Amino acid sequence: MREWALAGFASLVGLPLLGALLAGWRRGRAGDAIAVAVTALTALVAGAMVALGGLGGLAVPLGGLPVVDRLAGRPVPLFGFLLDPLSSIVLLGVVLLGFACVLYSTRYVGPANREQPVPEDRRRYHFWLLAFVGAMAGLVTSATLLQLFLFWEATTLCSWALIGFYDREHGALAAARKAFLMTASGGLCLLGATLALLALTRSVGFDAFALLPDALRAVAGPLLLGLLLLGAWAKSAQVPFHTWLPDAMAAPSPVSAYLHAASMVNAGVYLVLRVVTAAAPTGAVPGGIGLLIGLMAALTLVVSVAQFFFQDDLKRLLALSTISHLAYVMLGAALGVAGSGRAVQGAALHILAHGAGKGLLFLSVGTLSFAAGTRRIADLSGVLRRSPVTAVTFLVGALTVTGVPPFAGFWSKLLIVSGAAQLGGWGVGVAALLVAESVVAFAWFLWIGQKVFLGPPSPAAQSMAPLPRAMAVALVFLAVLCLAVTAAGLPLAHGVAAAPASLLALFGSGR
Amino acid sequence: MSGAWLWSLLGAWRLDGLSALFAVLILAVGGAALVYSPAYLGQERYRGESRWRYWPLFALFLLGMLGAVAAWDLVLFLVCWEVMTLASYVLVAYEASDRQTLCAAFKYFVMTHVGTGCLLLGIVILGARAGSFSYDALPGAMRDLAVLRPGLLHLVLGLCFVAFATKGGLWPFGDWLPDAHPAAPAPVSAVLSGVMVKLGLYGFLRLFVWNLAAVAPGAAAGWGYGLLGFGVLSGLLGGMAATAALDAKVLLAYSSIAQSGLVAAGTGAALVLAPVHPGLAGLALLGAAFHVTGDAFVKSLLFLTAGSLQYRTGSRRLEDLGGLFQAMPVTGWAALLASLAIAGFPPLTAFVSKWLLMQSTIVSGTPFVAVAGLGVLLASLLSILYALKFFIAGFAGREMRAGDLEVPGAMRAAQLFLAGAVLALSAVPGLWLRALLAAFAGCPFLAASGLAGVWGAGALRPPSGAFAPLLLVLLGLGVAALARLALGTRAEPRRGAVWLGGLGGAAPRGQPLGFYSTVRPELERAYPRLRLPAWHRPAWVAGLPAAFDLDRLLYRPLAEAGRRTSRALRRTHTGLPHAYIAWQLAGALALVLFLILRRRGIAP
Repeated sequence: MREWALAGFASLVGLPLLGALLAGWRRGRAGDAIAVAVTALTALVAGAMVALGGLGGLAVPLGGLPVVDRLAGRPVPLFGFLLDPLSSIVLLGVVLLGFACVLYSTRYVGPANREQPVPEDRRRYHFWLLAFVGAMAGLVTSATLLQLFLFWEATTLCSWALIGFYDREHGALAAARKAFLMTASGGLCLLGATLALLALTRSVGFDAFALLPDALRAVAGPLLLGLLLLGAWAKSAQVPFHTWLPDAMAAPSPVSAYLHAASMVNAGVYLVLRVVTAAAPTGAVPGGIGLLIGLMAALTLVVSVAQFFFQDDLKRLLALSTISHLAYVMLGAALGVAGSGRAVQGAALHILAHGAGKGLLFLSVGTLSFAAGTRRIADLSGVLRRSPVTAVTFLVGALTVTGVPPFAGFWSKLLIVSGAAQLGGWGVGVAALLVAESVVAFAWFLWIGQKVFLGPPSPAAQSMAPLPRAMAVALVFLAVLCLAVTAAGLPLAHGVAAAPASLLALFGSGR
Repeated sequence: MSGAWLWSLLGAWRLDGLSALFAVLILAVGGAALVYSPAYLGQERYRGESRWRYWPLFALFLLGMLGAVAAWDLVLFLVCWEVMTLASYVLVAYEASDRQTLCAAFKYFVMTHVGTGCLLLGIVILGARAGSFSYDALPGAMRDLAVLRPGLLHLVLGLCFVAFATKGGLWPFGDWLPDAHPAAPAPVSAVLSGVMVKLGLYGFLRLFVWNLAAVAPGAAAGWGYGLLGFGVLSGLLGGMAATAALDAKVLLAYSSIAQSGLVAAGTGAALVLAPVHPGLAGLALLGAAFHVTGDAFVKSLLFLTAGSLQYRTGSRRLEDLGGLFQAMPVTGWAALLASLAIAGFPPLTAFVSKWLLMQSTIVSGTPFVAVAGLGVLLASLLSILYALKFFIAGFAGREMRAGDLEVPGAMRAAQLFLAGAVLALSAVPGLWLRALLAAFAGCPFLAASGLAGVWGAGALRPPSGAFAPLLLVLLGLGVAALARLALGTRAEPRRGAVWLGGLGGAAPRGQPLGFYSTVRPELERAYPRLRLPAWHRPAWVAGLPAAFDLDRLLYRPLAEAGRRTSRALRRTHTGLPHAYIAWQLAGALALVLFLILRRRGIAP
């Protein structure tokens, strides 16, 4: 089993990297074809791996470094791959959205784009995007904090290059630098926590917090968790580090759809969920840290939703909504620390559901930039007449992220909210907050949708060009995904509660 | 809660008597509206709208409603409820090129989703307590809650109450009705008011009567008071607003609020009376159920006739209508029948149900219920006022128009079908009451009510204690004949003050502005509307985005400090070889000095 599992993991990371080199070398249709084929192949490999080993778990330890082993006095596993229900959920989002976004980009990034026309040369773009797919796939299948950190930095680098893709614009470069500075500083915090754990516990497994010596646990535990949280907050754009995400909307729309909805920003919440599921059952996550996560998430929720109402740029609005949904996942993790397994399941599922829905929303808005040349709400009206596909997919995306049955977001929110309600007392208050947020966000999205898509067509909408087929296919693919991911996601989310701890232990103490 | 649970949801359907009643109504009214639609949508104003936004969503709307009543699981119910809500929202906003329609639809959307949010929260708490979302687990969970956490139980019930009252159009939750109805196409309005509003009442019946009353009669009676109070208030306020309305569909929308109020009042009375007098409670419940049935047909018929008026005259404003009875005979007769039925004219449907309601409340001996019963009486008097106003302003009230303005065959057929249903119900109410009694076997207190034999002997022969519709028909005909004898066929309008039965002043005869003109302003004020205000941003709001700009505190100072540091470091890099050599020399000297000092034991 180990052989093919290793081959699978290697191709998850290697295929996109190889594709990045090839697509970065060939220009024109050939490069596009390579990029799409590689992401489709990666998605197939990932799908097969999840189907075969997602629930049961797959682990491939890759050993450590001799110098570390000598210092520690015993073998310390530093690297390895792991696929369990939690990483399966996130991985599915990463590869499926990766495919859709690459397919969409083949037409979006080019001279036909009315808002951001660029020369018909996507080599640089494909290179960074595919490299990102590989890095992200590596991140979610990493079995140790150290390896996760390495891929984490790789995604940061790719994200810098992709946000600044429109390098003629000062705003895009400034936004890229800002995103890089903030997430890389967070990455340093993560590195600090990892190295300190290695020094203190001789382990960089996700459950290393449980291995802290009792004498150190009271002080070092919360401190290191706090460092790790800083990294996660920065990556997942949580208050007070959330400001890079709206600025990063200077990126091309498919990049926003992929990095800022479906994959990169999820790295932070994924890490937190990882640590919470691995360490919380052993009592290694103090309640105070859970409370901190919860409070910051609630604050993020309120701050981001409050800014909805001042936003005229559709993409920035979506970015704010992304921030609030990541806070949702964080809140699920906090509820998990407080003892609700169901909320953790919901949080895990929400990563996938929100990724599909928000990715779809970004791509729908992208078609507006592409065809109408603007994404300002004030300039758009009556788009439905000119582009019904966009209107329908926008609606589906909005319904998914706001949690309307029967779309995927409903099930994840239901799990989180009912998990909160299960805790009773203040949990009911949290549940009420979540439902209230959903209703407000829903109303606002419908209001915006009504403004943009209904009514008499505005000049910008009048002049809309027809949608290229590749973009329409990507949109419809994601819209179907918004309904269909529940079928795969719910069983996997159920498995998150019963995470195979024995697998994690392979990379932990060596117990 | 796993994938298996999700799949098991697909099988969680069950149709008991209560569900079946609503399913029948949905199919009958929905079918009539579907038949009515094609011709109606041929109007000029709908020409620009895509039919793709109508037919699939109409089907989805009906399916959602059927699913909501057939679901036997709270989550499934919520899913269907939401499907129904969303589909109806799109249908209300069908005329999408009209800004006002969009605003109305949005108001509907927001209000009903506040309700849905409450419902979701309530359901989640209940499900978390019960460990399962199936209806089978509900009574147990409620019993536990009633004993252990009564506060939480009442919170859940309150949340569900808000949700159902919003959908059911109770005052003040149902404020979306008078906006959404004029905006929606007439067949959509017919289904909206005819059945969808009734699903709010289904929620009350299912949760409060079927489940709560069985396990916690005390709590149920408490909420019965709430239902009774809100019901009577809706009946009165909705009735007053309908009486004052100047737009045919607004009038009907308010009347929906009023009629929903009567059903809620009946349900509430049943809950209050169940512990003390199951017989009366059963009577009130049957009255409410009969009213649901009757009003479903009558209200949808009224909306269809209002649609026919708009179809032919292009206006819904009552002052533009009138004098159409001879030009549209079928529609006219249907409207007359429906108006009389909603006014409670014997032996038509609303008479039967209101009779049962008043019979069970006014003489119940419970002061609150008795007073509420008087409120129901007053509300039904108001319904006479607005029903007459609708019919007279719509079809009579001025010189008869010439020509054949009758609507196309399909629209006529739909109206005739609904009128036939109303007539059939009115002719043999006993049969229907018996059927309801049999269907409601799941109701906890109906078995104890001893009503089983009351309508046993059939509809045409009045058994003791019940009423005799046919006798009442004869009575009504006699009254009509007497009136005709007394007034003659060509009564001259009487001059004189309004209070003395004259026309009073120069108010035009039969014109809507003349109706109840002396009290109209007061009536209009009676129903406080929730307006979506034209909102101007206050000045402080403009400053809010700046307040949210957290970059000011964190990112920009740090980035600036970093830039300054790097600039300072850059000073050392002059680019001149001499300078670098000087640095190297200085460094080497410093190192040598350090080593010397260390050898001497001065430095560490």
